[in-house]
Amino acid sequence: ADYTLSVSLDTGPTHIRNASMRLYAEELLKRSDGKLELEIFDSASRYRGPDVATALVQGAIDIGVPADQHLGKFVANTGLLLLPMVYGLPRETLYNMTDGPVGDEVRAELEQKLGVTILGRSLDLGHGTIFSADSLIATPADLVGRKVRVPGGAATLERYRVFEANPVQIAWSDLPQALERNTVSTIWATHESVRSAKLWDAGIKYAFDDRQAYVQYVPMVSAAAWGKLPEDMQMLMKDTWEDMVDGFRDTAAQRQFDSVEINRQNGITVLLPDATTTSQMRENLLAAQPGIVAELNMDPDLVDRAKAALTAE
Amino acid sequence: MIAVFFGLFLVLLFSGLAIYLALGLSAILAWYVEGIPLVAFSQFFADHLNTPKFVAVPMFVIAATFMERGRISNVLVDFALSIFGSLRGALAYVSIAATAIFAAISGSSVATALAMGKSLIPQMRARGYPDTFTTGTIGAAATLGILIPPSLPMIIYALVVEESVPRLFLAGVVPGLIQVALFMLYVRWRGRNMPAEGAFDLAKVRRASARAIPGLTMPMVVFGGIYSGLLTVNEAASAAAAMAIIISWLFYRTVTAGDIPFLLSDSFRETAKIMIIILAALALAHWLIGQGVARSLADYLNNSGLTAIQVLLIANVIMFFLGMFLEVISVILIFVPLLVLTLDTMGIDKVHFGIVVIINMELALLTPPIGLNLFVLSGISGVPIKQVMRGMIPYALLMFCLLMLVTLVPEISLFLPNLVYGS
Amino acid sequence: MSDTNANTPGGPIYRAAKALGLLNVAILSIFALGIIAIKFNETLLRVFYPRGLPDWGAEVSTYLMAWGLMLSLPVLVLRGENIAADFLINLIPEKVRKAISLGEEIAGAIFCAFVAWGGYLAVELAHRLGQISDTSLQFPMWMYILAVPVGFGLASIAYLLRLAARVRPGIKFWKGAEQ
Ligand code: NA
Ligand code: NA
Repeated sequence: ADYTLSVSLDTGPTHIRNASMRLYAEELLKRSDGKLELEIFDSASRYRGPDVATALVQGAIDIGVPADQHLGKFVANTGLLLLPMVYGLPRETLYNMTDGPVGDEVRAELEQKLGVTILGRSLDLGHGTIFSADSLIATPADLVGRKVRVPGGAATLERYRVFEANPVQIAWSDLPQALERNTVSTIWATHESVRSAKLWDAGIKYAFDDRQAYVQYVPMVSAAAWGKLPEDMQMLMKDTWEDMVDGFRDTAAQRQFDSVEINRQNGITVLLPDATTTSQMRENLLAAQPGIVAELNMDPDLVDRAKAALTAE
Repeated sequence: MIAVFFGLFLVLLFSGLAIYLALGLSAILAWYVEGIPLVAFSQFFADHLNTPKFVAVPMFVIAATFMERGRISNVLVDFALSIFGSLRGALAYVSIAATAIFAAISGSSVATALAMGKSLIPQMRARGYPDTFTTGTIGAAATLGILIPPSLPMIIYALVVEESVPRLFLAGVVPGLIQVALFMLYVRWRGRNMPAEGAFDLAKVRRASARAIPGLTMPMVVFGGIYSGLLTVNEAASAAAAMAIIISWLFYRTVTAGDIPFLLSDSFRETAKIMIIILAALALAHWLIGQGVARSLADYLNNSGLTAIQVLLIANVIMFFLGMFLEVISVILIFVPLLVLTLDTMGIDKVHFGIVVIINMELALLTPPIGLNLFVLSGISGVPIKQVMRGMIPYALLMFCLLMLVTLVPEISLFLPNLVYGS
Repeated sequence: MSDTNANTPGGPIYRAAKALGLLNVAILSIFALGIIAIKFNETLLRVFYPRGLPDWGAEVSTYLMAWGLMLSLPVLVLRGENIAADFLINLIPEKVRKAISLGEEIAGAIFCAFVAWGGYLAVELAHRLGQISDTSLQFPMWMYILAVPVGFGLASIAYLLRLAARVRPGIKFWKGAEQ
């Protein structure tokens, strides 16, 4: 190949993000007649999740696909999908925000501040779900006073304070042990993640799908790598991404769906909240949103427009 | 390119430079040639230091330092010897057992080697055990840190292959106990010319145990705290540090208030000595991963049409080779992701393979030129690395036998997890 | 290691070395006790008052550890305590060994200076981007990263001191200040 770009991912080889990037790499190789090759490094073998964005800024890697949660430390507005206004909404509605002008604005801010190029719309992981090892959770009110593991991210921590739960940050890798020793018994994660780590072995028995927030990944190319590509290759990368990203998202949704089934087969009871519970909790959370937005130094005007995009049908 | 930088590294290493410098110089040059900016090299150090799990290491070292200087380990050893002292080489058995017990709270072999070496080497020296045997025994036993659960490398492996951590942890128990048994058999065989502490005497036990009570609360709090879920590992390590300081200062009065700051800073330095080697080793491995070195080896395995047993054996050879030069986590990250699909198609159980990987990595901690346990033991005892190595050879051979046994007989590792979680 | 040029300690270099050494010991002690205090506080709160549990305990204790380790580097260099591989050391003639040890000090000074310089650039970048931690503490990350340039910068100076001591053995007074 004339151009080889390295891709640094912090998830395992079979994760949806890695699988998507592999398909993208194959397609690029084909469309470029073998001129443009992506070399994929899995499992954080080059950089860990929180460190990927910095490595991109410094030009130490060519391509990274960091989660929104790991970008908040540079651009607070990347936290939109973790805010209360997202609560309970299906992904199609969320795309009104992330794929429209609001999303474009956040991407432009990221590109401007980090000096990277964003290939296009974000990749999906899916909705977060509350899992518990010890008792059924039927409404968010059941979370009051509970210790809940969250992956981090200031917006997520704040959301759990609104639930009057005690959010504790525990790294994904420490979770099985934390569950086995009852350090926590309630966690926030996605069905796909729970399946991949077989957390039923660590005691997970219940799931509550209230669609609290949504996890997306932003595909980024470092300035150094982007600058080395001729214009036609740059166009090819962006166009190919645009052609494929909807397919990746559908696959992600399908995987989450399949994972729910696998988790069920392994003895996890999955509950869905009823409409009144959801809308009531959404109201409670929305009341706290301005405070969270201020606390995180997000742009209130942007958040208002995002909210408008979510409520407009 | 790989040959050039590895050649450079080996020349620097064997010329007797500080190990971190041999690794660091080769790494920084390799990064430079690769076109990665200098800022990223230093950022890499900052990123890797920013690992909350590492906090337990200096804390355990503080605990061990105060146990040793404050004679807590002396009192505990006296207590253990009052019971088992009639055996020849009693302290060697006690050291292996104590190290295995510590391995059940620490997920890292380096932390295990630091803590146990720091507290046990002076005891064995004082009782006339030769340095080579002492450092070899503790260094080899400390590899149990990653085989007996919990285990950081097992967690990394589980993430890479999507396996369940509780299953892997349980799978390490039986092989870990076998390793303990093999080591003790070796001590028994060597024991003919080892010191013994005299016959069993109930009065002596009573005296020793009374004196050991304050010291005994320490392992009990740490162990109980972690296994009840009350304490995280970092909290338990800090609690151990705090207790060791208080017990040696206020109960045994073997450490004065004025000693405390110096012992604390000694402990940080002891940790820094090893940590900087690990950081530099990671930087060189980071570059090596980018070269796709293991990819060609794995491609061969993936397309060779070999049987499952042949794949396992060849994978062992490759990992042993990588493990000579690289730190444990790096080997797992470099090699295992490339093999995941093969494991599935060949029908190799990923829990079984995980334990094979871990035992192979235990050996990596002992093999030169980059064997972290060699460095740790030499670093805290002042015994030359060459001598430490000689002491570890018999144990390494036993571990090699264990590796073959576990590779060829999956039931040894799988029996327990399948019993508990179903197959 | 004993000093052959045993001038009686007490000069300005001796006193400066002693003061800096004690400062190092004091800082490391505060960091170590700080970690113990944070972990103790976390344990107590988790048991008795989980709602008050701060989300920055792990973060701050990690920063203290990292700073402590980095500040240990220059002392390791001054004392010559870094671990070296001695596999083949007996095969190397005495003269060559001396040359290597000179080379090591020069290489060490340069390597540590480079890492310190890169660390400074990383600090500068984190500062410019306004990078903060993602806990409620919103800790400015440049203050954490600063540990790397400070630790390696001091280590580079320590190598330079050892080089200087080859020319002016009197500088080795710092040795007298060791505990
Ligand atoms: Na362990
Ligand atoms: Na090795």
